[in-house]
Amino acid sequence: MAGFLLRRAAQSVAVLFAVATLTFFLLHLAPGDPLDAIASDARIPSDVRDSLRVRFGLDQPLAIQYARHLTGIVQGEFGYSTSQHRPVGDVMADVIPNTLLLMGAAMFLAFAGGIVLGALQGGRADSRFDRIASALTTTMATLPDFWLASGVSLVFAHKLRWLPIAGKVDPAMHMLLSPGAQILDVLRHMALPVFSLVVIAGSVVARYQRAALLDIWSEDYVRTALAAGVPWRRRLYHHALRNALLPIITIFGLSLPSLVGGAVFVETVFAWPGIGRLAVEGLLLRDYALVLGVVIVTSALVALGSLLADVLHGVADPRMRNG
Amino acid sequence: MNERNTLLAVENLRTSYRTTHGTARAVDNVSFNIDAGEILGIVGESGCGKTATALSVLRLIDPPGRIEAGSHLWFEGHDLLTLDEEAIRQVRGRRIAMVFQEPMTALNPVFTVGDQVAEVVRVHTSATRREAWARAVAMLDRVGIPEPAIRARSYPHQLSGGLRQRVLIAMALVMRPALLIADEPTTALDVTIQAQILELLQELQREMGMAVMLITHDLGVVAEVAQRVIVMYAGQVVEEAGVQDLFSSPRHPYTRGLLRAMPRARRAAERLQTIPGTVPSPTAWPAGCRFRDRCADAFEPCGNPPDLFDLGGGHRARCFLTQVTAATAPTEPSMPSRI
Repeated sequence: MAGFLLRRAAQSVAVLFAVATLTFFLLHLAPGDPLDAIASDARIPSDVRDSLRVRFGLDQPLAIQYARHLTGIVQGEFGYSTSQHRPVGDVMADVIPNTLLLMGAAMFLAFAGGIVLGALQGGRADSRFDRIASALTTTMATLPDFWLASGVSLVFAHKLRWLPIAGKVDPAMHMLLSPGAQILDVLRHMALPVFSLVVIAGSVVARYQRAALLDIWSEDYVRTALAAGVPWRRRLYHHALRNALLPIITIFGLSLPSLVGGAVFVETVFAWPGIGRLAVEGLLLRDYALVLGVVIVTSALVALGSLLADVLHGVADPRMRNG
Repeated sequence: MNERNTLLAVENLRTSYRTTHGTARAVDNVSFNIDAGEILGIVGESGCGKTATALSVLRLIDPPGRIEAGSHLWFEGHDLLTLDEEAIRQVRGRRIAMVFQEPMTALNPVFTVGDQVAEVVRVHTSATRREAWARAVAMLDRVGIPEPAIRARSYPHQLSGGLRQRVLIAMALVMRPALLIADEPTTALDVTIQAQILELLQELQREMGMAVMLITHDLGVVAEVAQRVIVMYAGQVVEEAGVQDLFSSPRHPYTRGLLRAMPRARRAAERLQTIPGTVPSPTAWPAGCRFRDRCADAFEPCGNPPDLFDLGGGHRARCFLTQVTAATAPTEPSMPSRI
């Protein structure tokens, strides 16, 4: 196990290096640079512009910039965000927890709900319940997230005014609230973006889970359990679901990066102070350091996600263990 | 009927599957009894309805299959077909247990074999986890698994086919059922292992006094372990007899064909005979005798469906030839009197 983890860690480092390199050169290949915004402003004297160039190291040859940036990252120094005017590390430290909160809640609910719904459907395939649920999940899984988010926002926040329309906290009142009420305030702000994300992601998970369970449901060992008098519920959750979780674990690992990558559209619709929205803004403003920082953190999570999926596979399936 | 202490009475069992080619009646009006403590062999080719019969007894027929109205399965004072879900669940694995053909796939790959035997105890009794485990280990020992306390912690993929079949037998017998249905329990195993498993089944049957419904296509297996035999063809019982009777004087041409197709040590040099043709499709059973097209002795009356004629001494056969004397047989056909 230790050898396996070490091998995977080495692979991950190589992948991260490749991703950082590729992203760096792609960013620099794109037209424009971080100072474009001020470069077009005639009021800024050219010597100020030049001194800024020097300050950000943009006057150096690309190879030097690349070497500097990479050394910085290895030392845990992500550079200076030209769009946020703060070190990238600070920016990420501020917004990543927001994204983790939103995406963590959404992913937990989507997987928990999707697995249970999909399993129940698979265990009663072609029943009325299954057909209705299938029609619903198929529809929901194909909805564009920005459309659903806008719709949900329009109905529940704008028309009915049940829930706040944007942000993470009430900007005026939050600081004055008691700790309990502050938590409630955040939960109320989370409700609509989380709902939009869960409806779509949960439907996708449910569809995979239903298919996986249906496969397992016709296995000989499920019939053995039936013939031995094992009740339906136990056959479903104990015998079938345990085997039908394997494909879902893979999907779980693959979707782990979105914990930090965020959901750009949903974050934008609800003005959630998350990293997805920030990264896209940074990209448009050629904020090299910020984009690279986000890409590297996300890639690290991709590697970690697939590693976690492999480990979970071993836990769930004794045939994958050595010995 | 109870003088022989009937354990299971299958009465007019009809099981059908809806397919795209029409309704297939895989089991068509099958009736037979199993007495307490006896081993009944059910033989026939693939597709003759023997497995569907076995699955029907435990109500394991999945849609689009169903057991038709008018069928009865009398067992311990109840018609199994009228029991609700919970009641039939309590019969499954506790009073009637089943061992399937494929030991490689019949065990759940993600649980230890000990857990799987113990689970049967736990779903039928109020035994604690520890008690159930102890009973499982004892049962694994009883079915001849070496070092049962250690083996119980193995996963199925760590065991050989023969050991897995022993585990499945342990699962089936841990509640000491009154009836064991064994569907081709040795077909998937090596020949040497087959003999061991059969021996084990016989031994456990004697010790526990349970009845066994042994389903097989192998007449050799039947000859070795069964006391009574039912021969099935095209969804029907075509012959029923004590095992001695069946082998010494088979009365149905299909049974005779099966016996001729069976290899024997004494006539090793002979060529084995096959029965020409194949079993007709269950969506379109022929009118009249269903074996007629493959039967060398078919004569005029075979256009009508023959009854299962009682030939005395517990011997029954579904053939008009049993009703005519040898002299008058195929050459001078006459409608036989029915019983």
